Amino acid sequence: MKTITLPLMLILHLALWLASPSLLRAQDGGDEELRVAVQALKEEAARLEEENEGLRNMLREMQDNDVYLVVDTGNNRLAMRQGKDVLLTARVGTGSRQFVKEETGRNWLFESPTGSLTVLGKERNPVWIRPDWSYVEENMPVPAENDPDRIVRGVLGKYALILGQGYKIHGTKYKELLGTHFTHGCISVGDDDLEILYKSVTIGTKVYIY
Amino acid sequence: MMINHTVILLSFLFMLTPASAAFGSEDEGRGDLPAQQKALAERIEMLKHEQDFLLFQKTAFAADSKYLILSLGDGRGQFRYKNKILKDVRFKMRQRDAGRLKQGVVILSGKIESPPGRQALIFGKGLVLLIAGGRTAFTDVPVLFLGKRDFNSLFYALENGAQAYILP
Repeated sequence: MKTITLPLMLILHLALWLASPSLLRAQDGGDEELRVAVQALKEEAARLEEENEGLRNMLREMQDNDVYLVVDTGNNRLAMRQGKDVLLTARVGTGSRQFVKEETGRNWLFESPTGSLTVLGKERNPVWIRPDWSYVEENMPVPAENDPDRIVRGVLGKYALILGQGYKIHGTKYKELLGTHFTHGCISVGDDDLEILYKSVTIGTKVYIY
Repeated sequence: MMINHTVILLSFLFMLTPASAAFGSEDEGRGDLPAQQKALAERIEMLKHEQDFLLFQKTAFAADSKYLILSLGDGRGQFRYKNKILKDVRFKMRQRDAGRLKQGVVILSGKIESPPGRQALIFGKGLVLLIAGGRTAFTDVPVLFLGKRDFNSLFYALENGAQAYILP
């Protein structure tokens, strides 16, 4: 018995010693597949992270920190904004959306312009040059283009921001109408807000009207 | 006899050593792999969603059209043009619509103009924007409710074809 035990144990030991790696091999095969899959996922995640970082940088570069104005003609509100910050909100007057027709066939729709505009100039104590529609609207004869009667002072407030094509952001005598559609297309602003705008805005400032 | 016992004991120890060394370390590694795989798959899904939104913004910054970004998580939205915020808006979601809105783009396909207070902005079958407080016949489509002023801004400013990007 004694003589059998020792060789038997040694054989058993040797068999197990040799078998253990092959027992592991089957499991290793599954592990290897999993390891490969995990590695592939790691690489995909790294690629996406790199791409997203590139896109984030690109979007950051497309941002600017300029002050800009937004006019909401539906609600008659103006906002001065910078990045995500709202620097000022103001009740304003926008186009009355009324229609005026002259006997000659000329007609005008008093609507504020929409889209992306730019401050083209800044004025102190702006002078209003009465356009033809102003006379037609009041059933008055239209004077000659250079008639001094067209020059009207003190009705546009202390400042004006010129938007082009005859449109301006300016003051008004009709403060009680701010927050409504009452203008001939310009954006009317109260005195205090107008002063802030005039001091904050530069030529080239973007104005988005919708 | 004593020698025999010693030999048997040593044999067992030898037998256990290679196996335990191998199995022990493999078990630890193997236990991590499925968890890593799951975590990585989730991270990739998140990164893909992020990329989708980044690509949307890239396109929107270059396009000449106004668009909306609606963040369901905090009930806030931004009405934007290119890289500029034109207006911040707030909205509320019906309880039943939670989970029905998925991240991505919906396109404005129509407007209901009357009666006053019951106007609607319809983004296909994906979303409807309404003024808060009014009753609605939209039961099959997810609805977001906005304040009257916010709604009016969007109603007049957005045209058919305008995009809204929904964020979870």
